Amino acid sequence: MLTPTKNYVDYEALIQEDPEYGFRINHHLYKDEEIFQQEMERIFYKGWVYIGHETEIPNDNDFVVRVMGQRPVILARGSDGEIRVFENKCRHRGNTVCQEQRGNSKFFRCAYHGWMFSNEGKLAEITHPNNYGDRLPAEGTMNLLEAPRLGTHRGFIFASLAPEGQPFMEYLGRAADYIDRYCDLAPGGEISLAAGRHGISYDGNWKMQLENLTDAYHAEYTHATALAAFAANSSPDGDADFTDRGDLENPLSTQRDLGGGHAVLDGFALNRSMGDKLRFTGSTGTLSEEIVDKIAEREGSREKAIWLTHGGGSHITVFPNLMILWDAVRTIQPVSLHKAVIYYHPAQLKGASQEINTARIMSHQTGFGPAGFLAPDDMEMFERTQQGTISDTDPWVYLNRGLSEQRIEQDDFGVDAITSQNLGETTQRGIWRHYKKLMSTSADE
Amino acid sequence: MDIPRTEIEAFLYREARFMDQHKFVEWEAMWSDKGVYWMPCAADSDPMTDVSILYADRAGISTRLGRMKSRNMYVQDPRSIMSRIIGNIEIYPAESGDGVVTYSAFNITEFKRRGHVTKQITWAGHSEHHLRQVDGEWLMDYKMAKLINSDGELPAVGFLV
Repeated sequence: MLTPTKNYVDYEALIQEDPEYGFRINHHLYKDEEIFQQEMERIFYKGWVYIGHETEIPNDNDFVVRVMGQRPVILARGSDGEIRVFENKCRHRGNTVCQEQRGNSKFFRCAYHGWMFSNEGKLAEITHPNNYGDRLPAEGTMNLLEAPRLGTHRGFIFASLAPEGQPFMEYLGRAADYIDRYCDLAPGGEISLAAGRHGISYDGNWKMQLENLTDAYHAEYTHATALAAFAANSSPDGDADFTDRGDLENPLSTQRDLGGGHAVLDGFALNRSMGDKLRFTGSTGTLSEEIVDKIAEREGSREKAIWLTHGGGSHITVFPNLMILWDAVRTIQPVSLHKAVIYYHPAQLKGASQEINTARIMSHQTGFGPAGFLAPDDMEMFERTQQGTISDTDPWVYLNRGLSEQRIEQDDFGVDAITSQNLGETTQRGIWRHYKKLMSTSADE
Repeated sequence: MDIPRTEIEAFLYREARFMDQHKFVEWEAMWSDKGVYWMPCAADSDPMTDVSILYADRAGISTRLGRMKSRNMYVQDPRSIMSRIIGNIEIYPAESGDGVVTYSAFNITEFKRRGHVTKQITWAGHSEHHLRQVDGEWLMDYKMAKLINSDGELPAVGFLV
């Protein structure tokens, strides 16, 4: 393909809002190869994409390999301490130049003909350069391909392959408030992703996980066995049972469409209703008193500390591939039209005791990862949803839950957000509206 | 100590059969009250500071099995049909002088059916068991099972390894 894909797909027809049907999407969005390729170009290669966290490459010369859309990239901290994102691709014949998942190296050498690049991206050595004669590549013309724009917020590193476009903080938008609150829960004011990651793959479209994180509706059925196991294990000496979701017909927690495809399942009000019993720091009871005390000292306000813990259980979706829930940060990696991987990185709280951070790792992996109590059942549902897209007899998915009671409401930061009860589909509609806007833009524009 | 090799091997083969057949009650009975069950991600990781596939103390093992016994654990609905081979068994006296440490390799084939869709997945790795005799019966104090691909992405692990 020499030119970017033209817009032969009519996204207006695939994502519809009208009085008769309400809000509906066509399931070709999950199974059409041309749409997938356009997503790569318009979302993953043109827009902002989460790549990794500063604490994964804390030292000079550290690197991790990642995939941006479908392109292999290297997230590297150079010898100069600067963070860069490079395509993992030799400029001679295109071989990948880095095969390790992570490491520390000043250079990336292609094993095919020996071309060597510095971790600042510069072509440092061509094997037998004289043979090029007067065709020797001029200095600077054959460096590693570098993402032209990086944006960092609270250690979260995003990249865009487009030299120009939406400014980073404008892209992050309202999601920044929720990321801030999550990181402020660390007594040291920062989280660390140095505990590593694990991943689970599923045979389904990547957007199923994107829609799922703020879908409270599925928990009662899909996660019945997990919630029962957690409830049975909650401490009998007075800690709140966080599996108690209150009156489901009149829920306190809400779905909020934050705009820009970002969304949150806001558990603030529900957590607050449990008063002093809930310190949602990923573990309950006395362990998290330590967190409250330390934050209270930092902020000079115990009230602020408790406010932060009450937000700890919220589910945050940052379009298109970053999610934050409870003890971990996760990313969605589209592999192909019918396959995706979710990577989970336990989020350690800097300034907290090792006891708390170990409890967070344990709590995380009991729920998530390939053998968790929650994630595998979600993946199973995504695979079954994908099977449901085979038949075109009725290709429509109706997302009308909560539509009639949806309203504009101030969230806990005092900012207006499109809101409905937590069992609604307000956040899914918000994600699809933003998706339609991005996808309806021709790649040539 | 004299190592009762045949008995220890029989223990590991019986454990493999219980795991293949989802015999959760019988498998749980093979644990001592000290039980720690660990599936690491990275080869040189520390379960207290690094993420694992799972890490469960004795109570955590019971909780995990309680969920697995349910027919509403959808990732195992219907349950996988499993066949595994345990081999390369090495047995050494425990350093504590009480019991044995075993190293073994496993190869697991998992077959899944969901309606018309079928999948066959191959798993492989190495295990370390710490076994001790309690009232004349061998029980597991500790089991570490390391999948060869656990440092990357895996399909759901909904069965016992």
